[in-house]
Amino acid sequence: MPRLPHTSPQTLHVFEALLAAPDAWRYGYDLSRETGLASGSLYPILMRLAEGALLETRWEPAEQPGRPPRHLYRLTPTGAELARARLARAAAVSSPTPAVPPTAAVVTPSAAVVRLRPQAAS
Amino acid sequence: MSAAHRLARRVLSVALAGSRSPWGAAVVAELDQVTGTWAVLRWTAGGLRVAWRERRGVRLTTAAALVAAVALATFTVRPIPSGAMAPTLGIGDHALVDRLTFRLTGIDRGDVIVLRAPTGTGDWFTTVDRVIGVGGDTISCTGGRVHRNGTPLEEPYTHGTTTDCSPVTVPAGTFYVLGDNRDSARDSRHYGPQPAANVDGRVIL
Repeated sequence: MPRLPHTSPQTLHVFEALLAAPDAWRYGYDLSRETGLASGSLYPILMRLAEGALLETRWEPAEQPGRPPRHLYRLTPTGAELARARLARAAAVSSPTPAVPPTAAVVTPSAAVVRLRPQAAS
Repeated sequence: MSAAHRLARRVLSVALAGSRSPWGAAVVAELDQVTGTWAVLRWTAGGLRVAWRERRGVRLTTAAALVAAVALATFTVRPIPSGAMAPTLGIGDHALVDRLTFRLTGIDRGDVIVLRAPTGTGDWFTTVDRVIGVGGDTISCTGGRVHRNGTPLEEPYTHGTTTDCSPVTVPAGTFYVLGDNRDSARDSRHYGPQPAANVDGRVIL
């Protein structure tokens, strides 16, 4: 079965950043800062999303003459839908029983030690 | 603008020259926001990766052209220069010749090869012949039939013509060749076994 596209952790980070303000046009540099991704990781992801019509792009005219126009990104409606679905899927995979609050799963270190060495306590 | 920014711009403009996709330019446009030499270098390295990805189509075209060039240099169609191989190959028939891979796989008995052979008067001529013996074989003719290492050969391609030859032991690194047209071919019966260096190609079709 082919791997489901747009599910890598890096792509999910990009989805999170873009979904934080779904209607806003975002700069590549800001997305790089928010996701912690280097340009060499971020831009190939943006390129893939744009190829799949999940991301729309436009050029912002330069504020000052002599400055290059900047490229802007925003999820398309299809892209936003897919992004939410992928993030929900990732959340479901990482915690299969969402009914249990996360704090219930926390085991204190001392408890773990006791459970690993039951003889030591006797 | 810092020296790192100037260097980054120059490197990326070279990497992106002729690119028709917007992504490389998009990475360059963000350079103004990046501060710090290390960050600029990192951003530039990513830009190079984007430029490399953008050129996937160009790279595929280049690779295909290289493969085609090697294939064309390796496989050539050439006309048969003489009637030495009649009736298997007649004068003017076209044969597909492999000029490269035989150098890797070697030539064996029975292969039909393109050979540069001495005319005997100081000149060379190109001929197409069949390899009868390789280094170490003894070739002799008895009763109109060719014997290799004492065993008579089945040679349907001669169509019953008889062969006369002087017995010879083929030296290492040479080939003993005969044209299928035994009555008229000038071959190793005249110019002896020929070194592998004189082989120009192997006929495939």
